[in-house]
Amino acid sequence: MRVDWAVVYRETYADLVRFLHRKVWDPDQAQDLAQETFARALDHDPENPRAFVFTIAANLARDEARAAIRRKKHLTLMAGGAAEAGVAADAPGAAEAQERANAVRQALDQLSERDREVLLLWDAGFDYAEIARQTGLKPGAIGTTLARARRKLVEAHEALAQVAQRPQTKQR
Amino acid sequence: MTHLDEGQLHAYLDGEGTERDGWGRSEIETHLAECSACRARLEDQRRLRDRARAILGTAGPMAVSPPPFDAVLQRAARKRERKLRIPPMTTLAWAASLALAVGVGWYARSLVLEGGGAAAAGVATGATPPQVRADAIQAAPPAARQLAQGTPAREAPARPPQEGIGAVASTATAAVQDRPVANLAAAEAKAPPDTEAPPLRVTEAPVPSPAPAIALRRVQPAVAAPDLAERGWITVPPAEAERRLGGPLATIPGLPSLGTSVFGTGPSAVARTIQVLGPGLTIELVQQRATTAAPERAARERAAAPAAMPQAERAIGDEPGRALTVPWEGFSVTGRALVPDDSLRRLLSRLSRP
Repeated sequence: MRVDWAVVYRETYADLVRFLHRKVWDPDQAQDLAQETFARALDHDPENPRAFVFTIAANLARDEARAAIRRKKHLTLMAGGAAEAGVAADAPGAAEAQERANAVRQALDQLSERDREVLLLWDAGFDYAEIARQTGLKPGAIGTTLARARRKLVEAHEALAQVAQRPQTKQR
Repeated sequence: MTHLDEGQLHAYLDGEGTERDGWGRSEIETHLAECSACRARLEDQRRLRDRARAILGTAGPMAVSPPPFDAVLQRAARKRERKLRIPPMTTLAWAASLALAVGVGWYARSLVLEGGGAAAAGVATGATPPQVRADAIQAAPPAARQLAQGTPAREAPARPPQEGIGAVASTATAAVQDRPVANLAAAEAKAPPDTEAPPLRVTEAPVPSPAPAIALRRVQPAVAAPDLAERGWITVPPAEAERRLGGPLATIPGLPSLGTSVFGTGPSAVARTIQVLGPGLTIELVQQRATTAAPERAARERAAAPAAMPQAERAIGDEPGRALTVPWEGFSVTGRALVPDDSLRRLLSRLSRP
């Protein structure tokens, strides 16, 4: 049976963007990668389209992360604060949203690769069986992995919040 | 097992029915009913789970609605189209390197053979053959350049060097020799694919009479340069590019340049400058007269010299990456690089004269 990609697209898009955003940390790029993901998926007829789409997306995000490291080098080459200017141009609430996202990002960075992946898949609405298939872990291990990942995320996030609150004068 | 472990508690909280070690949902519920310690731990874990969910929720993005599915279909169609075309860069880069290798080899060979007489005479006069060969290789790049650019070499009559042109040509040669060959091949790989045939003619044309090797280096560019000026991309120093454009050359200050090539002269001239952003990352700037200034006149001039138009489009169209065109000093400048749009915009906002 052919996959109806238009339906998968409608139902999965928001989750996929959310998932990608937690990997590339750029809303526009997350959307762009989500589009790219579906453009690549169209020719295929997988048994589980949703899992298939997330696999492509995870690969794209990984490639993107590598490219981002290269880009970072050239941005430091350019004089002046390109990064701040970009943020300041957005709406006034954007700076706070950025701040919050940064805190989550830093907390997630402290998780192991596997814990983070499981947590993000769960966050994107996958059930344990799907997470197991996607990551190659045993279905019975997902609960334990998620428990550890959640605890680490909460602890790291709270630690960061305390550091941010205490020295108001000091710059991060 | 006497108590529930964390994994079981989380699976239970997440509504999972996966049976593990003989514990299904109903067994877990039975145990929770009897064991107050496990009930307390369940509530702790519930708080933890909800907190984790809330934290992840603060990372954004706000609810996104998918753009129309047609956008995906179009994107896929574009990708398919691109795949059908043989990647022009790759093919032409190979063709160019091959032509370069053959050209250099052939040139060296013909010099050795031709120079045989000279060398034989040289042995008597004390000139050493290795010197002749070294000079041959030094002189080779302009010839190879011609190949890489796909300029079908005409029968170039060995003319005496003209002073003015000679000066330009030799600076061009210097620019070429400053650059590694690989860069050259990649940067100039815009050639039409008819690059294989000419080597024989090009390399044989400038074979000199047994003249001193130093003269050989001069004669050859002087013959080659006017030819290139008419028919292809030619690498020039910035000052020459400005002369051909009839205006300032757009560059981004602070970034090392891999060189500028131009196509044509006057109002239809197109200049292409490649600058280095970082390891393996370059930005390409394609500059031509903006058409808005005097549309009819520009159109007339374009019609008179139509060759540059497809050249400009090809320079922009073939390469991957994002492209952005900005007006600048009466020109339109298209930047292309594998960077996000906002970075590209910022880079282009820094355009200035060299």
